[in-house]
This record gives sequence, C-alpha cells and structure tokens, in this order.
Amino acid sequence: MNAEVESFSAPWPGVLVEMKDFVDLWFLARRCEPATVRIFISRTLVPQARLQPHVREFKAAVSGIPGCVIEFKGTDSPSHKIEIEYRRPA
Amino acid sequence: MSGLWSRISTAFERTDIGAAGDGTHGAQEPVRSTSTRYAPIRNAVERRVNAFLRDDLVSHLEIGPNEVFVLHYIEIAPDQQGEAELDQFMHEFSPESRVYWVKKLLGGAVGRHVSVDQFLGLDREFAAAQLAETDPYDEALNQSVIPPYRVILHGRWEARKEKPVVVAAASAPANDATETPDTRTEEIRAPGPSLKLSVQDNKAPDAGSWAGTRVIEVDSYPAVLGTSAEADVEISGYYVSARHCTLHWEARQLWLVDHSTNGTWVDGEKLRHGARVALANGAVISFGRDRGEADYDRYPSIRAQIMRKTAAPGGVAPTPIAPSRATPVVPLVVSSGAASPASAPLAPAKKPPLAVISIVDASGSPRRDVLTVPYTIGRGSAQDYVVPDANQGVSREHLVIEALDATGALTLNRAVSKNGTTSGHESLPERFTWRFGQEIILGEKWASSPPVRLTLRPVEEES
Repeated sequence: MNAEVESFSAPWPGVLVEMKDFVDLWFLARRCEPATVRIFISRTLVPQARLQPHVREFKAAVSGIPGCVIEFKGTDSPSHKIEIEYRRPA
Repeated sequence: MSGLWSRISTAFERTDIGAAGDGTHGAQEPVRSTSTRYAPIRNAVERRVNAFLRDDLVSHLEIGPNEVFVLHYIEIAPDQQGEAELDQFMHEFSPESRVYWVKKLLGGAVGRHVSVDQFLGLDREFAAAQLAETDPYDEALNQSVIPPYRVILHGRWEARKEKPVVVAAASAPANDATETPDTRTEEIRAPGPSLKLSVQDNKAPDAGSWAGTRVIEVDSYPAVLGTSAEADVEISGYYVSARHCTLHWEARQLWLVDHSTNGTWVDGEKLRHGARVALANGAVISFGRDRGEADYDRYPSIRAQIMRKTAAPGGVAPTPIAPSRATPVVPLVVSSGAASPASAPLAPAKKPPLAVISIVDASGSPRRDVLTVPYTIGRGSAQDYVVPDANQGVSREHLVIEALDATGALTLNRAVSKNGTTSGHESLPERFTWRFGQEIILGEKWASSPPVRLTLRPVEEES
C-alpha cells in the first residue's frame, strides 16, 4: 500500500473547501482506484464546539466516491492532514 | 438505558462488527422505497442488515466457509434529531415484533449462515458512558448526516455444527479433482447448459489473443469464478477476488452476479457491486478492469459461449452456438435440451424498458432506457446513466430511481445537500415523485458548468 499525505492550515471552516478540492482532484487524477482517505482535524486549530455542522457538510460532499472509505480522526498536530492510502497497480 | 441492555451487557462481550450510517457501507447500498413515518429507522436497519449479508457475511465465509454467525442482539443509536422518533418506534412495536422483523430481513441466511437461537432483540444502544465510547472530539467529528441511526449487530462466529452439504463438482480444471468435498460452500448445484469459457489469464498457454486461451467447460450452476482454489473456475490475476463472481442458470437464462472488490465488466460495461446481469452468448467478462486483450495477466478476461448439448447419449462433443456479437448486450434465452436444430441461432429475449429518459447533457441529447430499478444517474463510472464529466455540477451518484408506477418514478435525490435537483427553479426534496413528462434539472446551482436536463417518459409515448 502507498500513502499520500497533505497538510492544511488555512482558517476554519474555509480549509474544508481546500481539503475537498484536494480529495476531488486526487480521485479525478486516479479514477476509481480503491483507497482509504483518513482526514485528521487538528484539535489545536478547531475546538470541538466548532466542528459541526461544517464536518457534516464536508462529509456529505466527499462521500459517494466509488471504492473509497473515508475516516475522520482528531489529531494533536498543529495542522489538518489528509492521508490517502491506495494500492499501486503491480 | 433499557433494562434489557443492562442485563445483556454483562452477559456478552461487546463484539461490534460494524455500523451502518458511517458512510462506508451505506453509500453503496440500494435504498428501498418506504412511506412510513419510521422510514429512516427502517432504512437504517435494513441497510445495515443487507450490508451484513452482502459484505460481512460473504467476506467471512470466503475464509471460514463452515462457520455460522450467532447473532446476539442489534442496537440502534439515534443522533439528537432521531431520538424522539426512535422512542415512538420502540413504544409502538413490541420486542417480539422487532425480533420477527429482523428475522424476516435476514431471510434465507437464517439457519444456513446465521443463527438466531440466541437473538435477544433489537433495542436502543447502551448508555455511552457504560460503553466507554471513544474520545468526544472524534465522536463530534463522526456525527452522521443521513441516516441519523447507527445500527450495530452483535454476535460471534462459531463453527457450524452440522456437516456441510456435499456438492457436485463442475467440469472444471484438473486440479479441482483433488479437492475434498467438505471444503466447498453449502450450495445445491443444478445442471444447466454447457458453457465454454475461454479464459485469458497468465495460466493460458498463449494468452494475449483469444486463440491462445485455456478453455474450461461449466455445466452445473451456480459456478464460482475467482482466484480461490475452491472456485469452480480458477482465474489468476492481481485484481481478481477469491470469489469474484458467480454464474447462475435461472429461468432459462444465464446470469452473472458480481461479488468482487475491484469490479467486473461485461462487454465493456462495469457492473455495480453486487449487480446481477443476464449474460449474452459470447459475452466477454473482464476482471478488475476492461483492458481488452491487453494486460491479461493483471486484468484477465473470459469469453462465455453457450454450447448445445448433444442429443445422442455419449455422442458428439457439444457444438458452440455462434456468439451474437452484432448485438452484443442482448441476453439470450437458450433451450437447454436438444430440440432446436443444431445450426439455428438462439432467439434474443429483449427486455422491454420500464421507462425512457430524454436527456440534454454536455454530449448532446441522448436517450436512455430504464430497464431495471434501482436505476442510478450520476457522473460516477458505475452509474446506469453516466453523466459526462463536463457536467461538473452533477454528483457522482445524483439520483436513484427506486420504483416506477403509472404516474412516474419514486426517486431518491442523493444530491439534495450538494448541488441539488430542481424543477421549475424549485429545489426537489430528498425523495420525490418524478412525474412522466416532468423536466428536472441536475446541478442547476453550479454556475461554472452546464446543468443536465432530464425528462421521464412512459414507454408507450416513446414507441
């Protein structure tokens, strides 16, 4: 398995637009490859009370990519992060 | 917290095997139409049970075919907006009714792969504090949108007590002869027409062209195709699943059912996961991707030719029936006996459409026949009508036609919270009836790309 990681630190909730564009472009470039997308939201940048409804909307916007599993986790790192794990054809 | 759950929480180890509504299973499942006020609860439970039957059960049985899932209980976790509805649901339906309903949903799997002898019921979830749930930040992150109910099945896998039914072996590769019968899955196989499979994979003697393929004959069904040594037709390839797809002979028609991870293509068309399609004579089945005759070692292909059975006992070898390549995707109804003359081609059984959609999209003004429901519309490659990528305002799965009646189509508007669907400049709700003759517009709000206009028409009007 290979992984691609990208960090984001723009202000909340606008950063979610950047994150969505990143996910969309990645899947556009590698059409329909099965992948796991892990989205890490920085606890230091976003307090829990400000997560919703933005995360729900973001989740709805990125769901439905065929063969793709999306997971959300909180992280203590100083920036948000998207990790896309995929299998490279042999 | 319910008294029932406090009692059973100490009786069983908590063994979640997954939850619906987390965006992993739910998005791929077809949503059934329902009009009761408990529709979201019903949908959530049905979706989870279906996902369990299709995904969890099938993938577990690939490794442990002789095991049975002992279901202990099912819990439903509402979010805040679903709390009151769930209270009413629990109040209205007795525990016995809920048990009856779940058993009905599990259907034929009960007794074969699922045991409900110890099933206690379907109830609200445990109190979060008692379950020592995950970190509240992660819980807030993972709040779901649709559906608002999380359904969790609890149980354990056990070895099946009775010995599995011994099955007949298909006309398969020679190495199948060494298999012991009790390693096969429990399925009663029935004879069907002789099918010649020309397999192009890296085991073929001179793969790369149809002339150099290895040929396998199948004459009893269902027949499993995959990499597993227990498959009836063993296919070798990086993107081929252990049980990739199954061939069935039903209602005088050959069918293919997909179970794969990386997808199955029939005559260049990708099947939706779990889809069942009629196979035309001469159909080409591709595994993992449709690459024609290239990359056969990673993406193998099979050509399926139906052979007529010989009339005389012990006589001549079966004769292949000429593949109908001129009209490739029309399913054929085949006589399994020897009544028809040897040279006569088999008559195509064309399925009449249920409705027709007139379309204006970036490619022009195509029309699509709705042959089955659910019928999906979107930019995703697995949709029934794949909208061109230039229509960026259309979601990957935008609409699902769930059912058709005399007035129109019961339609699920999956893009309701995204770019939406409109009619007469008014946004349509998550579920609506798409009347015959009504024009709807997909992605009208998306200013940077053209919308797609669709009009549903009954078949009589079109013909």
